[in-house]
Amino acid sequence: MNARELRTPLLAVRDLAVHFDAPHSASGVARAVDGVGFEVGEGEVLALFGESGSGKSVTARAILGLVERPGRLVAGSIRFAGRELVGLAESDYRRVRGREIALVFQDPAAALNPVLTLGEQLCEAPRAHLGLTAAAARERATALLGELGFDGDSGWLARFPHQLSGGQRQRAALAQALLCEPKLVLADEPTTALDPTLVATVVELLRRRASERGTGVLWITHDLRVARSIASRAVVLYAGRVVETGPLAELSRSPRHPYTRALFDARPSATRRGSPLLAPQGSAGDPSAWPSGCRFHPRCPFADAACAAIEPALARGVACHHPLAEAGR
Amino acid sequence: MSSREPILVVEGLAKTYRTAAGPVEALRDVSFELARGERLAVVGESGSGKSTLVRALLALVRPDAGRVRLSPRGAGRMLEWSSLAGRELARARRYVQPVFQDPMASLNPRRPVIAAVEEPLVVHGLARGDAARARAIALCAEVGLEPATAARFPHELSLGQAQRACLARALASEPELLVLDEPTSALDVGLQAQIVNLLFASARARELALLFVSHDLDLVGHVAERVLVLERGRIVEAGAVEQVLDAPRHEHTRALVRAWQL
Ligand SMILES: Nc1ncnc2c1ncn2[C@@H]1O[C@H](COP(=O)(O)OP(=O)(O)OP(=O)(O)O)[C@@H](O)[C@H]1O
Ligand SMILES: Nc1ncnc2c1ncn2[C@@H]1O[C@H](COP(=O)(O)OP(=O)(O)OP(=O)(O)O)[C@@H](O)[C@H]1O
Ligand SMILES: [Mg+2]
Ligand SMILES: [Mg+2]
Repeated sequence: MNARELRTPLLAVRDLAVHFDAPHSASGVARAVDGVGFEVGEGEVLALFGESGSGKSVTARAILGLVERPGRLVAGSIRFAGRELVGLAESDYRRVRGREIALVFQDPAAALNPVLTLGEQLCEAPRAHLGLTAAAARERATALLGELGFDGDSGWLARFPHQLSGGQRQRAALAQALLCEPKLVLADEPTTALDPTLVATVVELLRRRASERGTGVLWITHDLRVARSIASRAVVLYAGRVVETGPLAELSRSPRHPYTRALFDARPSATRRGSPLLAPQGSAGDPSAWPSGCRFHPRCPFADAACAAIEPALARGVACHHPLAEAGR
Repeated sequence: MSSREPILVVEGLAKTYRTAAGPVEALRDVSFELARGERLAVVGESGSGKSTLVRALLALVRPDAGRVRLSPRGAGRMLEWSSLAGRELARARRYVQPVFQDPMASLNPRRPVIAAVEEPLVVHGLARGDAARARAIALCAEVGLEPATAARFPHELSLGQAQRACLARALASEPELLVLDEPTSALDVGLQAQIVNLLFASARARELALLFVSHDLDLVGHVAERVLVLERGRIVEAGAVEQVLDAPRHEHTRALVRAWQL
């Protein structure tokens, strides 16, 4: 164990639960995030995997104190640089948000204000948080846009979000999050709209921030291919629970949870061109009525009676009654 | 190119946007054809004009020059798609349906998503009342949306769930061409695989043509028969998928393929 692991982690999430009122369901409550825990060290990039609806974005929003009704943070602890964020007053949270922890929204449209030019919205935070002059803020914004692959001319700051392409908007949202050099970046699917060259550019930029400035990054994704080029460790969510965690290289070489393997096998590169993709069957279901026992059991080829009855605990990095052997099964 | 009849003929399309910082030429002299049931991918760097092309094909932006013709079986004749307007355009829209990158922007925030799937059935006179609702539920099931989930409002869904609803809506009017702008970038890989397989199956079964924009070259390799490569608004390479991805000729395509291999 090295010195970094012995220090207080930058972010430590424990037993986090975020539920939504679900008045139209029998149980009345949707358990979207239901006992999630992980840590992100200084300078570390942690990948958070999971299929659609598994609770990735809700987890990120909870860390930023952005859970709104009908959602509630019902349990858990979120410690950032040793300080508890759960229960923090909104006025204190506002000082953390954007300045110390920044969220790159999955939906760039949600991050950018449609009625302001890029210049107006990008320059606001560095002026407020870092006390930069208008000119210095513009210079900083232009430089960061340049690093993110916008060509040198200054016209970009005069554009409105709707005057940008999808990939340009996603990079503008990324710039907005990175501008104040936060200690922790929650990057929610930050490269989904980017061409391969730009994906490499963004990965490189964040890697540099992590190694040179100790920025911690939570890289939320379902793309193993890109995650492998940036993250060292990974956490896999399924139906609001952590089902597997460990070094990403190991996880991708020999996943232990059958769900992790199904997730990785569904990549188009895993099958021959033109043949049907290896799609996992069905869906996880609705968070107001998760399956009993192991929540993955109805879709799992290895499930037996125990799986339907008893929820497996996370032990040595995997929550499964019948983890796959090293070489797969 | 295949010898099949075309569903879409595009000739000399051009589009320039005006901005405070000057004009942006987004499309320049773009011409190509798409056969019935054919699967065509459009790739190219960010800002190369892919979404502008998509919007022009969906009659959502008016091109400055050029012509788009459409020949759906349902209409029984060639339509001057780029000059249709009003009721005629509204009626013909059932043959060409979009799926966009950002599902939240395509759904009405004040209505449950099942209503969005039902709407085209009613608007185009394909079903009414209980039959329309039942058909909408079946379409949702086809794309993996549980009825309880489909009954929720867009903001109550994850992005992937919302995108599934958009796909169900697009398939509802029994289109002959789907125009998809990075349709699966908001989806997890499992769902992407399910939807790609589904698209594939529908495309085969119904002779549904697909024109889709993607940055995922593995996905392009899987779905497309032919690929167009755009750079700064121009087609710089076009050909069979094996040729374009495995033996790219243009420098821009080579750069994309190289970066993909990371
Ligand atoms: N405001 C809300 N009201 C009710 N349910 C919600 C709300 N927001 C999210 N949920 C539910 O919480 C669950 C987790 O959603 P979340 O957005 O975290 O998924 P995700 O893992 O980010 O998925 P994706 O990959 O599709 O973005 C989903 O079932 C979603 O429908
Ligand atoms: N409404 C608009 N006003 C001004 N410029 C625009 C507008 N829409 C797009 N542009 C510009 O036109 C060019 C082409 O944009 P388009 O959205 O077609 O690109 P794209 O290939 O889809 O890119 P991406 O991969 O990033 O989505 C870009 O340089 C963009 O900034
Ligand atoms: Mg999400
Ligand atoms: Mg686009």
